[in-house]
Amino acid sequence: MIGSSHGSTRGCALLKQEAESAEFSLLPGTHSNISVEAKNGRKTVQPDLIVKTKSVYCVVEAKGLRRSSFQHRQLAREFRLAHTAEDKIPQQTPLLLLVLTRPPLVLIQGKGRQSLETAIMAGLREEISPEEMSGWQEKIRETVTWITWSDIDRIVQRNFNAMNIADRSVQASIKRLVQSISEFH
Amino acid sequence: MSKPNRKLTYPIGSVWTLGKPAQAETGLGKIVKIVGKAEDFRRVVVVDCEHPEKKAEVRIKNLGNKLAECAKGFDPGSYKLAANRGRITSKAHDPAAHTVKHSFVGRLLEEISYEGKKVRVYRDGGLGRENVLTTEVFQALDFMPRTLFSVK
Repeated sequence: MIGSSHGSTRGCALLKQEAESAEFSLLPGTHSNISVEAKNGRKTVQPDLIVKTKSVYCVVEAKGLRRSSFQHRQLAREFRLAHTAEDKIPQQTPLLLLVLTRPPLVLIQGKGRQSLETAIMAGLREEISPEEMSGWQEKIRETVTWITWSDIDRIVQRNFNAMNIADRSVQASIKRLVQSISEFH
Repeated sequence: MSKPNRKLTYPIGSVWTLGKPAQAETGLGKIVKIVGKAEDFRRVVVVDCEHPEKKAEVRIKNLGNKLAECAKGFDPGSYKLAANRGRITSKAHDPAAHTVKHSFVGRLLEEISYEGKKVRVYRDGGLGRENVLTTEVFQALDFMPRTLFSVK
């Protein structure tokens, strides 16, 4: 799935390579104070998921199937979290993965539809000082990636169909997992 | 002199948990100590137990559980350990992690528990809702044999 997302190729390739050991931490902001430094103090960030491997620190933000929008600084904060999280170790490549209902442009509260780069840069300008702004635009291209729910469903189905599993019980077990994605999606 | 028949419920020095929205609003942590009263009787002044330099006025209704009558001798770390009992900490490659591994359903329930009256919207099973969808899909992806699925 991560190999089929659009955007950061390096981060996605690393994550795909290390997928077997990836650790998922769902809704990590619910019981931990995850925050990023902003002009007027630290701001809480509540990503949907953090996926960590030896070489990748991936912040995942998913949008529901109903019409939903990003708060206007949300993407910038989550993007910065991927880069500056307290528990991120230096050898981990930052990655922001967005799971969307449809391809960008994305809906930003009060701003209409914007490209990911525009939305993140606008948020960054409000959160950090002008002296700190250099280099971020490049990092957006290198470390932001997106995929849609229907892409995930399609890829999982396709890979399941291509699999050749001799053990029928194992095959049935995986099929149930695949179906759980399709049914909910 | 008549004996007071009411005990102060929010005495100065006592230690409390602070609700999520108030944490986000004030930048304080989860555990706070009451250090003073505000002009508004509905509010108190609190400090973050782990970062005592952080101080803010919060509404009393945003305080949750009382953890200790007196901050003296109270160790926020030990409370956290008790609260996190049963959770498995992140693996060795990330010793400084403050995110912890926890069951997907457990995390979802924890998140929903903060939704107050809005919790009724989950009566349809949370169909199409972002946090439920994320839980369902990523839990399945987490459980799948990942190497077998690595073919593009």
